[in-house]
Amino acid sequence: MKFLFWNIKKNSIGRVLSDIVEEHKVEVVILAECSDKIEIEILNGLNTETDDLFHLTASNETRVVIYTRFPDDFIKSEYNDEFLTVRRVSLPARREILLAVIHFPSKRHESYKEPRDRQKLVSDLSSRIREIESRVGHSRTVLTGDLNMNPFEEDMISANGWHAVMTRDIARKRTRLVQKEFYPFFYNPMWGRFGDDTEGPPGTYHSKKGLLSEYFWHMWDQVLIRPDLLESFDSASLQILKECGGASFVKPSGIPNARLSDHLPLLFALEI
Amino acid sequence: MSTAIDDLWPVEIASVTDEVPPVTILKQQASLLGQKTKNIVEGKVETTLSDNEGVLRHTLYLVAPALNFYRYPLLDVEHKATSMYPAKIKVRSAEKSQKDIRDDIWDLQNAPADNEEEFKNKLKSVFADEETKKIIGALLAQSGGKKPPKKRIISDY
Repeated sequence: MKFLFWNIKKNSIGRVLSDIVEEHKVEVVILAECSDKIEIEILNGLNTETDDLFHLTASNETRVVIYTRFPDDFIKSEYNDEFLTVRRVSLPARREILLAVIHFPSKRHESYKEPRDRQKLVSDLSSRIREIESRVGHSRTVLTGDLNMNPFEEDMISANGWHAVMTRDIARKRTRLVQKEFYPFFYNPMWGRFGDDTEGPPGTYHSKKGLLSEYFWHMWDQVLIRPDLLESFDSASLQILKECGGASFVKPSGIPNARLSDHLPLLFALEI
Repeated sequence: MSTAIDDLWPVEIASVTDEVPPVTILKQQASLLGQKTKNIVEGKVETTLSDNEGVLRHTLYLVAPALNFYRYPLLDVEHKATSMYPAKIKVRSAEKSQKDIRDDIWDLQNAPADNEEEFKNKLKSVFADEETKKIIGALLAQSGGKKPPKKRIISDY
């Protein structure tokens, strides 16, 4: 099953998106910053030249929009809040998975400027996911979205944060005991997509603000895999897209073309 | 010592008829509506047990995802759980309370459909009814235009 995540910065990306989903045979399209005004326009665009129609699923109060090639009977909401949605994807003859999607507030957000406030939110959200996994009885969980932080940041790696590690071998240990509590790992393949020695762009987001310390490229948009789904995840399927169907998502300088979006789309697949 | 249990059931237990059940026909039509409207208006079928004991009720909803997933119950189909036909179609009224039966269509559909063919013919006439087309048209028009505000907050932070 192929997934696409893209923060579209409230732009109507119409044809570009339908070109991506047709070329890469995407089954689940997940968008952040997709306003109410354009969500139906995007559905129209996705369904213009295909008989395998997309369905718009209910977002409730969450900040992401999910379109699926299958009816919403097969993707049930388990939890929704402003930043997190967790859906139970259960298709005939396929293993059920949990799809968690995050649009985490940026460091500019009034209520989340302070590291301790961000840390509390990450801790609450990750705890919520663990509760849901416990309730549904499995942890075949994939988490994707705009996490608004880099893979190496404290909240990404701490046990009560996302606990997302850089190698499969560590993730296969499943949990880590910290202060008498077991915390499950996520595998974070985005570590391997940094810099200019990779096939794709150096990150998913670029910024240059004249600060003393500047990373330039960031990996805000990520996919994290629980150990129980590791065998279903093929690293080769993970791509940060910079072009499709003759359209480039980056400027000649290589940085994202903000006229489309200041984020680049993320594509990945799970064999379920 | 184990004792063999006599199997009293007949050898042949299978579907009693080649006829397509009403719920299957409804689901097929629900899917076709989505195809026609590019999923701007979708059909959904839900089955409940009617107040009358032993009677299944299948409700065909029109769902407009762009209008906060507004659901309009277009019609109910009722039949005994133990037999698929006769099946009775009850059409909802948009003008009156949604619990009311639309008088004109109801007159047409009052006699239950005794078989698959009759059921399909009756469904076809409900779908072709001016009020049905008006309801679907209104949902389509509103889905393409301005929508009611949602709880969802989209911001660039």
